[in-house]
Amino acid sequence: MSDLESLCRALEDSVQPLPGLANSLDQRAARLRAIAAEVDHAARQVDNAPAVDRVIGAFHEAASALEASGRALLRASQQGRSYVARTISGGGAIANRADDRASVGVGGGVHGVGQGLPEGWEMVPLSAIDDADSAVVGPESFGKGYSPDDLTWAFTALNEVVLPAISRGEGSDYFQELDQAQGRAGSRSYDDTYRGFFEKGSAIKLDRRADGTFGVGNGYHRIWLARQLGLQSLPAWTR
Amino acid sequence: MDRAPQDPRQAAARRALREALALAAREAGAAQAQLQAETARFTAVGQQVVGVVGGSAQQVDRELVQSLEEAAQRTGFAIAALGSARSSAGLAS
Repeated sequence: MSDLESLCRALEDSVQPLPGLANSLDQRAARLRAIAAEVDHAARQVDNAPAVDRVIGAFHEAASALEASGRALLRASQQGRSYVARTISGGGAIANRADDRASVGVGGGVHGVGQGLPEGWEMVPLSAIDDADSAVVGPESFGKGYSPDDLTWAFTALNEVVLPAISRGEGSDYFQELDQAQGRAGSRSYDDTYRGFFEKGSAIKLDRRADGTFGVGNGYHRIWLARQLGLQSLPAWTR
Repeated sequence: MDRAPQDPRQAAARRALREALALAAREAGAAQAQLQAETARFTAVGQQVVGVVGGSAQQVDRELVQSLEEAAQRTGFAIAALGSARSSAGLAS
């Protein structure tokens, strides 16, 4: 092995932990946003509640900083891998061996794993979704169904539990058992989250356009909230 | 003067809010400590990269270390924000 090849392998080893660390930061950010949502929900139930805006704001601020930190770590990882790929003849094979964001399941705050998604579903970058025709302009646009807090919980569950389980081949039965074990039901349950994102009647539906963007058939509220949460992609049934 | 009796549902809601704030304060504190440990890990990666690449590939060296420094800086912001969240939660509960 040449000195240069040794250097590249050592560099590859050095940056190898970074996607995992980015994943950890992203999960922590999702957890912080879920806590903020819990505090917000609890405060809304109380007449003349003490001001909790600063608490909620600080949690979201911390979450945004962690997401930015995760992105910087992934950039560092990519820089290392690109260097290896450029430098070593056939270096792509080495570079591709390293984990990337998708393989550790971050995907911009939701999950980058495409493995195991039902046929017809894919992780779609929010930047490719054209929802300019959306009537959803804020929390007031949410009706009697799922509230923004419920959907924030669902996105966290999607990221932390549902997508990793799907990539292992689990399905509705698994989520039902998990809900039963944890005493969960209704809108804040794993099975509801799974069915909400992966059943054709309730999934986010996107229509692929010739220019590579997607029009929205269903899911405007979730797309709006995903943008508020700073997510970068979400699972959608694409046609 | 006697205080008016409190609606039991409101009392329960206030209790739930206090618990949520206490949980938030605890989580913020725990996250601060864990983030400090994680920052140390990727700062160590930065030092390792400099050691590995040395002067032989200045460009990747510089870019990588800058990215890692940015990550550390952002995490520092998060740790500070969590400190603020923790004290605000304490004050509100």
